[in-house]
Amino acid sequence: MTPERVYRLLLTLYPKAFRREYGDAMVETFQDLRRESDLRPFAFWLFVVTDACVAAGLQQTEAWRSRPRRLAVQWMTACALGATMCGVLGSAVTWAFSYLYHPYLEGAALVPWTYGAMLGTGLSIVQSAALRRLRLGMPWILVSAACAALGLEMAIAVANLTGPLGYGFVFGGVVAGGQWLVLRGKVRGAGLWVLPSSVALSAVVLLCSTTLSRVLAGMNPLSQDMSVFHTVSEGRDVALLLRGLYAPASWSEFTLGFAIMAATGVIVGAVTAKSVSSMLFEAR
Amino acid sequence: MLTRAEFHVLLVLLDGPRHGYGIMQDVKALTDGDLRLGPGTLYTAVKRLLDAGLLQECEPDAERRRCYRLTRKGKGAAGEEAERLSVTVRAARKRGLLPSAS
Repeated sequence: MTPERVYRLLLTLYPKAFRREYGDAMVETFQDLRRESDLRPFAFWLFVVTDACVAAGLQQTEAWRSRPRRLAVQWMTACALGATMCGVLGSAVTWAFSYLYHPYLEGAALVPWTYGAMLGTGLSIVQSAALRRLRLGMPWILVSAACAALGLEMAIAVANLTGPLGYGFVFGGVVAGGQWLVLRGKVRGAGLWVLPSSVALSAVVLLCSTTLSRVLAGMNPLSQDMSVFHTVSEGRDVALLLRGLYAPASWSEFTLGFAIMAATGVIVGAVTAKSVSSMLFEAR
Repeated sequence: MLTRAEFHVLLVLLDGPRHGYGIMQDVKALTDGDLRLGPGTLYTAVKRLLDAGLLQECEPDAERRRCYRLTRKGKGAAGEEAERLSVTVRAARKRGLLPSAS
């Protein structure tokens, strides 16, 4: 392998954009340096490799801090916070409900759409903060909450016919479609939002209704008694999706509840990050 | 604030445009071999200086190598950095860290 090839190999440590801009010039400079260097071969290569590693590290750090990636991380954090906020809100409601318990309320439960509204509110508040440049404000929050509430009711109806798959798609589609209505007046290419967002929400629902139900069933014998969930809604998936909303029976369940909500947010954030990034750069 | 490599790149370009290897050689000569820039450090500095508007690319030379020259802003930044360093050196002298100039 020629020295030039070795150096080109070292260049792969740099971010692609930097390599494209300066790669050829760096190879030329390397060739000049090698021809005229007064260093012994070992010292020369030690100098070149150290220089490449340090400079590549700096460039990679700079690239990480650059706008699109930073935006993606901020967006995913915002979604995770929003979903966790929803869990906190739900836990507070559950706590208040049990604190004010009265025998007359025996068997009473919040209807599914209220849980949907809470999920939509929590997520959209933090999303609108992260997308503050678009000034989405109250219409975004109201529409998200309304669509999540409506979507949950519709999804439960569909789930009786199609199972969790249809449930996921209906819930995700209704929420994403509602948010698109708000977005289209603000940005070009708002349609990019609908597919990733509905896929993300659907994925969350599907994940919750399969993997998580097994985890929860294994962790907590109470959760094996699904009649507990049936008192809340006819759709078992709803209960599992909004697991963080239930009063936890133990610390591990408490932690798991919030971890699920945060993971929900991260999934939504990860799948929608690219479309959000495109929208912000296209903002009118 | 400029890094040591960036400041020295500006210093050598005060004499006129240079290509990458020319800058490396001049920095080595200017510092009596104390500062050796590798290609990675050099182009990292060049990129930052170009982004900050302190350098600009000029027409490639006869061998079609990329050349860089100082902008007016770059000259000002080099002067400010030199002033800042001289204040630091004066402070170090006052504390006896360096021998006095006289």
